[in-house]
Amino acid sequence: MVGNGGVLYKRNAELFGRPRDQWTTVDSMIYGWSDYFKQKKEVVEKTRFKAIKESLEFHYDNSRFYNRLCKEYDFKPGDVKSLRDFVKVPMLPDTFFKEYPAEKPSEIYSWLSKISTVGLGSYNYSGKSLQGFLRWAETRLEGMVNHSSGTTGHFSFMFRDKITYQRFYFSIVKTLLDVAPTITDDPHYVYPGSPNTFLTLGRWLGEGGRIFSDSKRHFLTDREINMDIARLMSTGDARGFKDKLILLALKKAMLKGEDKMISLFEEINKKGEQAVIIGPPFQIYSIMLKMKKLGVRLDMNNSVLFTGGGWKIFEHRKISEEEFAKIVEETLGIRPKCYVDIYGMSEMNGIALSCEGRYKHLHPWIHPMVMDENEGILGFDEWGRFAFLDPIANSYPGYIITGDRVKIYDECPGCGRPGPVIDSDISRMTGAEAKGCADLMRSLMAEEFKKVETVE
Amino acid sequence: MTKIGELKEKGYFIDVDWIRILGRALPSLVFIALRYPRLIKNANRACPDGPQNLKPEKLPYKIPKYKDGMKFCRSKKRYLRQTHLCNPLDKEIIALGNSLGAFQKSDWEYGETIFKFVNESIRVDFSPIKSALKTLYAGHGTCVDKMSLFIALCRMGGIPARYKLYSPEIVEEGYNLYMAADPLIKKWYDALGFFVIHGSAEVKIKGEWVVCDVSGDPYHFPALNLPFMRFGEDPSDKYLRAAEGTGVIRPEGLPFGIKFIAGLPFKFFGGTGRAINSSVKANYEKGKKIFEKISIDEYDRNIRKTYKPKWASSGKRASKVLAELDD
Repeated sequence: MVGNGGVLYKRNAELFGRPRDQWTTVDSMIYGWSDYFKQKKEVVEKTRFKAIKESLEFHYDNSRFYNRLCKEYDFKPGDVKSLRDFVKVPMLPDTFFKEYPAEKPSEIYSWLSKISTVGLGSYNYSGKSLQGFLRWAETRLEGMVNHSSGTTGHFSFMFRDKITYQRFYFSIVKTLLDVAPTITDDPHYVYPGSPNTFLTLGRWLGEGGRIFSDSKRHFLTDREINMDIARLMSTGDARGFKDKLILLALKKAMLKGEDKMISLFEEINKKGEQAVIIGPPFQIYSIMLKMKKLGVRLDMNNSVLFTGGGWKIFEHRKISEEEFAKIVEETLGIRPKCYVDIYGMSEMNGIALSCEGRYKHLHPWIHPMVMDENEGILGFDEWGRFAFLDPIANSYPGYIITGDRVKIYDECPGCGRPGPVIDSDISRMTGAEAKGCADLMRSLMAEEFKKVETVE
Repeated sequence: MTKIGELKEKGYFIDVDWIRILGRALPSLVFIALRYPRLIKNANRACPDGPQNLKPEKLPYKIPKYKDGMKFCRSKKRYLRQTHLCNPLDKEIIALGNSLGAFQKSDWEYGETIFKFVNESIRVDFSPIKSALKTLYAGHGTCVDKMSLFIALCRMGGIPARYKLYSPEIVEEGYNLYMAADPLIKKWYDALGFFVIHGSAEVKIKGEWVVCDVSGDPYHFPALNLPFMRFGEDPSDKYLRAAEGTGVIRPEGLPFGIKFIAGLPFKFFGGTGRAINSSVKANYEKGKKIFEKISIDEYDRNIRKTYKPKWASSGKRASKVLAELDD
């Protein structure tokens, strides 16, 4: 394994590494490349092409569903002979992952068995709760299961088997550790949210945090956000007294948690220790507002901050990443180059990190595309629907059309490094449903933000 | 012409063309019903709180009273006469047509006025087929009901009008609103690649047949980011078109038995209807809220600047393959 040899890198390899004799081309990128973002463009393109070809062959041979889909399009993996042929690959819209017939464990199992490329074994879950079923499925897959925010009242589910899970986590953790100029062996890990959930963001960050020591992992709350609560939060449809009480308690826990976070930051700052902080922009912003109000100014210059999960903070005012970075430096004392925004989504096994020019650099194994309204391919420098080919996905075909509106550049206009890079002004396509765990949590705090917005 | 010949000309019999349209859709529904009895069972029970129809609490218009001497077209010519479920000589239809400018405005202006009335005042929903008059009294109806009312008003005012019926393919937004609202209807649509039937009226003005789709009220569109149809505008290049390989029929009237056939789904799949109506209602409420901030015309002007129809197929094709895996 490569890495800087520090404790955290070793722990990452222990938890999420894969035996070298089982590496495929995409594994050689993930586990073999020392720096994902500093490879030669020709090498990246050649290796990515090979990785995607292997992935296409794997799903074509092992997924009954994808095999039939390819036949529907009259496509065979052998038809891909050059990069240009990627446009022929049969794609799935991200909404496809919520096409299960009913929210019942047995129905979801049967749907999943059809779309999954890996076997799930026989169904022996005896419970009725969906939350319990997700736990069962996670054990069965030896991987990870998560669900979307369910903004339309309907969740989408992503199921990662062990191979997908290991590749995904190793690459993400390594990428984030690489951002810090120097990472100590035992930094604090701070996620201002709840890890006790199957909601994508919380589930991801709770799991990724396992590389840090138990005593150094800090969360805003450990209150469980189950699917009923997530639905309640996303629809805002609190029907009875009990629902209202749940929302109130959660909001209170979040506000109380913010005070806890500020005290924690003060303590870390006082001891001069390092922290890896990660959370949605609205949540970090909320904490920073509170710090400003309390007159707390820290100097955490050896710490790193990551944001991700949607940029909606205020209803009527947009905050740019630059503006955000400035407030981060003013309140937390984290330098702009140690603050990085992440673009990702539950269906993609890769992320894009913002550079100092605030453009998002994609992981090299992801082949991005921009599509027009009718799924025709647009070139660089044009706004359209984001789609990608993801060779990491082992348990499902990772050839996805999303609802995000993006513009992609061949070369970064900010830092000049080779692309593809994504413009930071990412929004939803018209007609695409609102999406995002961060927005779900934000909706709870909407009133608090409204007050600040009015004052401003 | 014999009586039978006249009835045939009026389109009163379910003929080969009708069978061509229904022949593909109904067996597929029967197959789904047999293959997924639980889906049918669930469809009937589904969405128990959902509305059976979207009848407004209060009609947004007054039905004027008929007065002696009001003008109306007495012609018995094709496309001007009474047909099944569409009687232009009903007194209320005559009174309404007169109040909306029949015989005072040009054909085009009168057509535009009644189009706006039916389009905006009658709420579209998923409910059993009604006559033009009953639709007027109910204030709600399917695309076919709204079309019958519109055609009756046209004929009353001396404008020849007919039905244009086809199996439609709809853009992504419409699919999400109507088809994805219920698992049964979605499965059905995915299996066929189109919905059973949709209607747009056609009216003859200055010797030319002009398409008029009165089905969706404007409140329907802003939440979907779609432009809405104007009088004389064909929806096929906007959001709804006849699916490839399916026919289009242009009968003068609706056939006998249509009420019974179209009423069957409401007997067996009540939950499906409620689920679709819930989805349409939520969409309607969203649209109303949007129009509190922006006028209908301004919205339409703006959306037309950027709108391009999404006949995206990846989702539909994936759903179709998934549905076939079940079989």
